[in-house]
Parts: sequence; C-alpha cells; structure tokens
Amino acid sequence: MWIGLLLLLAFALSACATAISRPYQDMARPEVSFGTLIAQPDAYKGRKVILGGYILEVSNEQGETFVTVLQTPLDHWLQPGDDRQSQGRFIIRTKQFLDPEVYAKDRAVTVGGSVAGSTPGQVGGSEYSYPLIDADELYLWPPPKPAPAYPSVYGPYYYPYWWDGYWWGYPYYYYPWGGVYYRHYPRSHPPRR
Amino acid sequence: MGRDRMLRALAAAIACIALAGCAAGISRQARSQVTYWGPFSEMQENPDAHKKDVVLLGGRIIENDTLPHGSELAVLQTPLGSYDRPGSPDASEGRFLVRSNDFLDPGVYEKGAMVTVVGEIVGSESRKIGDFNYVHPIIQEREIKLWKEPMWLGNGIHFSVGVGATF
Repeated sequence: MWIGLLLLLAFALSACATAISRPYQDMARPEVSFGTLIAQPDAYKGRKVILGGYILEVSNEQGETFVTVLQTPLDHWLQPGDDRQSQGRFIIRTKQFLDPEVYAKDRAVTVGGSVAGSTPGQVGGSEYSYPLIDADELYLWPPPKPAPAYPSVYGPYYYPYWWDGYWWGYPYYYYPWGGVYYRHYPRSHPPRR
Repeated sequence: MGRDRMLRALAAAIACIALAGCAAGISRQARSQVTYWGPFSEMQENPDAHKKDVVLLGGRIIENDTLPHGSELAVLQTPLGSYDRPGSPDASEGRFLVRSNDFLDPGVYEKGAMVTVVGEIVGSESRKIGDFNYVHPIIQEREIKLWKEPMWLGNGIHFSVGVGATF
C-alpha cells in the first residue's frame, strides 16, 4: 500500500516538471523585471534571468543561432501568456543549431540564461536595442490546441471535434500526454497566427 | 438461410472496418530491408560512414523539388510512432533529403505533409539553413508512404466519452 502511495506521489510530482529546472530558477532570484532589464541591459550583464514569449524570427549562423522573441509575462509554470502585455523584445543566443522549421514563428519559448548585454537592431524603421540572453536552458512549448469556435456544452474532454479542420488537416500533431495540455493551455490562451 | 447470409455479410462488413482502421504504413517486405536502426542524429552527423545502409525514416515535408527524372523532398525528421507514423516535429533530430525516381507531385506530397520512407543512404549534401551549413543525408527512396488520413483512424482505437444535452 505504501509503495502504491509512493508511486502515486512520484507520478503527481513528475507531472509538475517545469520548463526551467528548479536550481536554475533559484539562481535567477531575485527576479529582474523585464522592464528594468530592457531599460539598461548592460547594467545586468552576467545576471541569470528567466524570460519568455513568442518567437518572431530565427536566424542561423555558423555555430550560433539567434532567436528574436516578443516578450510576455510568464505564468506560474513559466509559460508565456498574453502578448498584449508585452514590454518589448529580446534576443536569445545559443551555440546549438535550432531548426527554424521547429522553432517557428509564434511558437512559445521560455529561456533561462545570462544577460550578455544588448545588441542594436531595427524594428520597422527605428533603432531598437535588444537585450541579448545567452541561453543555458531553453524550452519550446507544445503548440496550443485550437479553441472551439463556439462555447461547448460538452466540457473540455469532449474535444477533439472531428469536424473541425485541425483534426483532418496538417500537421497531424502528436500529443503524447493527451489531456495534460489542457492545464498548460487554458482556452483563454490567445490564438496566434 | 437468409439469416445466415445476413450474419455473414455483417461479419464481412465488421472485418472491413476493423482492417481499414489499421492503416498500413510501410510494407513488411520493405521494412525487412532496413539495416540501420540507430539514432537519426548519429547518422546525420556522418552520413557517408553509413553509405549503403538502408534506413526507415519519417517526418514532415519542408520542400518538394521536381528533378529531371523524379523528385526530391526535404524532410524534417521526427520520431516514428505506431505503424511507423511520424510523430511530433518538436522532437526532431534534424533534416534529410529523399530522392525518388518517381515523380512525387508537389500537390500531393505538399509542404507540411507527413511521410514515412524506406531507402538507402547514398550520400550527403551540405545546404544552407540561414547562414548555417547543414549536412543533409540523402536517402534513395525504395518505398514511401504519405499519411493522408487523420491520426486517430490510423493510430489504433480512440475512445471518447461525453455527456450531451440539447436545449
């Protein structure tokens, strides 16, 4: 019986695995808010931070990948949320090769990394100074399930609706953990195209 | 006697549905030719060391180019699930090229479609992704399967229970 309880506990705890490891989260404390970071990135050089948002662009260089991200606040699970609350943009730098077909535009990412300063760029026609983050841990969130177009009387688990296009169309995403995403992806998640 | 015939027809109908549900992936004959079952990433790092090996790979089509005598697909590799069906592109270990002597119509083998392929490693080609030189293993196709039907029909049985109400 005790073994059963232990197994249950282990299972419950494993379900709480986060995007960024616990030790890293501890290292990133006290938290630097994105607002202060973007105001003077060079003042926080070397600081460990956890940031997230939606991918705007991936650029692959020889030996390095740069990911430009639209920052958003993070929720309890460090998942990026509402892009209307964005305070700006930042760039992730990593030695890994990240395939732009996987790290596609609008996908949600959370990064644990150290501030490497700032890098100049442009948004539209105006100058923009991007905080540059050297990635130590990078987590790509699974794509959100599309919200039904109308309120459902059947409750969330009646999904998937096989008459909606997503079910039949490409890409046939594979959700290895099934319903787990309902928790990570509340239906209030803004649809992003 | 009439009843007997009806039962037989019913059994045949059920068998049809049951068999159609197990959408076949790659033929047993092609699967038996596979000689390399190792990880994709290891093969991708040094495709020339694996020349003449036959592999079973799958993924999502990134590009479909028509060649003078056939077609070439650029594929984003994914792990394979049951029936050798490609799984989540997020778990991709890289890219590869499939060359076929058949014309794979870009309207059918379109960007975003999922394919599973058995083929021989015939070499590699370095191509740019952004400014990064990425080594693409080249697979000469022996059998290719395009996944058109939705996942749940081909991937075992899917049950769903719901409580409904109408007003």
